[in-house]
Amino acid sequence: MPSRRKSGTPLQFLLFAAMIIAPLSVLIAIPWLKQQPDDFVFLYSGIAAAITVAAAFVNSVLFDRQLDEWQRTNARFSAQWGWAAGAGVVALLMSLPLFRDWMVSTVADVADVANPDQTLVILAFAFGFGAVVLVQGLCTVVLSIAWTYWKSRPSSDAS
Amino acid sequence: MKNKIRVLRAERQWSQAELATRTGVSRNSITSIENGHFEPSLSLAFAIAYAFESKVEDVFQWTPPSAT
Repeated sequence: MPSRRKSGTPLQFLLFAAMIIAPLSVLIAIPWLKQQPDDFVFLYSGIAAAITVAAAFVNSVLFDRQLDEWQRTNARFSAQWGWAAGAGVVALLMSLPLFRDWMVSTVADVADVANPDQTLVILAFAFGFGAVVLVQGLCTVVLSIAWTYWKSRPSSDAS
Repeated sequence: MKNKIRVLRAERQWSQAELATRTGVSRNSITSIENGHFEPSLSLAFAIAYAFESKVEDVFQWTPPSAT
């Protein structure tokens, strides 16, 4: 059925706030986190990342329900091309010495290391980036198969 | 797929926003459909036809590919 988009609900604003506050809290807490044990830092960062991802996911589902089919087609088009363009831009950026230098200097600042091994930093970033792209691809295939089976199930009205 | 939305709107002196409100979609949706840039779902096509108190085939004209 057609559905007209409504303004955001309080829950959506709350979720949006969580998406901003969780990563911001990590950035603000970096000086304090540097003095904490590594396990605590990973736990804190992991929880913040999980909150951000979960809030973004729930928000996107709620937002999608308010869209009509034209807006949903727009969202699908931009999401498909946005993911591809984003991945391509990161790959291109990694080929630029300026970007690699910025990456290394950022790691040096955050980790408080004077001269981090450049190759290790770039390789770690590349593997992390590759892992995200690979797992997203795998999840897309799995969800596509699941959707196919779900939408091909027999009708509940069938006798 | 062609449509007569512009003509039907003009007959009733409805703006695109008016038709959008009556069918429960955004004005952008109506603009795109009217200009032939977006094909509506069956559900929305029926909703548009219902708003005009017309039959779907009186609002939308579909030509089989072999006939083009």
